[in-house]
Amino acid sequence: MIVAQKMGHAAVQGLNVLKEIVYGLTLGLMGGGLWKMHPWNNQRRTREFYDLLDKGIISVVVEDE
Amino acid sequence: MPKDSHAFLGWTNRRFPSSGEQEQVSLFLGGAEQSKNEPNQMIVLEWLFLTIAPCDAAEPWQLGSQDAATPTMQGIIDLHHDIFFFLILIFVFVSRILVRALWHFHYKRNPIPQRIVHGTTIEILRTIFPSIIPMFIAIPSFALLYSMDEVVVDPAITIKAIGHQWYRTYEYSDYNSSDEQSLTFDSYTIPEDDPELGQSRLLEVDNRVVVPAKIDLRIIVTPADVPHSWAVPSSGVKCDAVPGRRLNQTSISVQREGVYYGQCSEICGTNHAFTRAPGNIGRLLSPLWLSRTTQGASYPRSKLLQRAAGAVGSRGARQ
Repeated sequence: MIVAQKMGHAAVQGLNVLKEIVYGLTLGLMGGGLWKMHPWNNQRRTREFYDLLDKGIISVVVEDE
Repeated sequence: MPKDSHAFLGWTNRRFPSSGEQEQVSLFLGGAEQSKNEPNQMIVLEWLFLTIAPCDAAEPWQLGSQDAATPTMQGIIDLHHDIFFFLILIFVFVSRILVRALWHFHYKRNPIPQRIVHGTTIEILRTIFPSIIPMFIAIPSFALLYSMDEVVVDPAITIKAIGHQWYRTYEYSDYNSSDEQSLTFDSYTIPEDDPELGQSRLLEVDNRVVVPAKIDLRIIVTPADVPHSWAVPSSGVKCDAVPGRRLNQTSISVQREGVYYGQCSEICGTNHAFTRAPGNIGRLLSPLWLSRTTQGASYPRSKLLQRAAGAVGSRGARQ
């Protein structure tokens, strides 16, 4: 409470600067985490692709008919 | 899992097109098809979820990067993803604070404006916290930058890419015998009204650069006239060709076979938009593949590349 008051005057009743900052950061981290799921997924699929390629299970070259 | 499946998890076997052959199309993530001139070929997916199919040329309405074929490009994509995380963090945080401030200090809700002059603690925090974020960005950025700058001491093949108005000349000089000249050939873009069925518009050339996969390559780039730039997005390479007595060098190590496309990236005149840099990445230049793609095993280019393949093969593929 004291920290919040030091950070900024509570200009409006019920407004806590520290709480707003914490909520904002939490939402930001959640949004960032949601984004990170996409590159993690891409990395997993890329790793899978190259594993299968190295094992010879898939190929990127069409064999002669 | 079937060993010889042509359509596995959305990845198709991509044929290296020689003249007159069609190129198979992969069904890419999001359903976009490769290029206007290619035949539509539906891929039967064995599993229901969409997966990545390698995307090595520009796609219509493409939003992101082409799929990485080299560790460099993978590093660039990963760095972009890392920075984007901070971008989203800051965007969401600032938007929330802004919306909350607009909400709470609306003239109807708060008719008497405040006269806040300063707040030392919050000013210190809002200076320190944003300066920490660039440090987190700088660490992976510098790591990638310095790793990209590493000079490959012992590349398997050195290829010279010489830019002209408005075509490229490629030179393989490494594996000549003493009485031979270097393998040199010109590479012209196939005109817009002249592509064969299956070829990408304004991306294909008549003679492609053929290089082995999973091996360090050195590309020396120079122009014969005006500035050019040799760029292949899938490989994460862009190297300026600067006139004068200047040879720029870049190294790549392509991790999978395929056909990779690039375009001139430095304005060089009226046909700048029609100068290309596509290349084939082959399986260590197997003779059979060479004979199919380089106009016959007895063709001089094939013989020299076979010799190169033998030399490269004896060194062993470096992963």
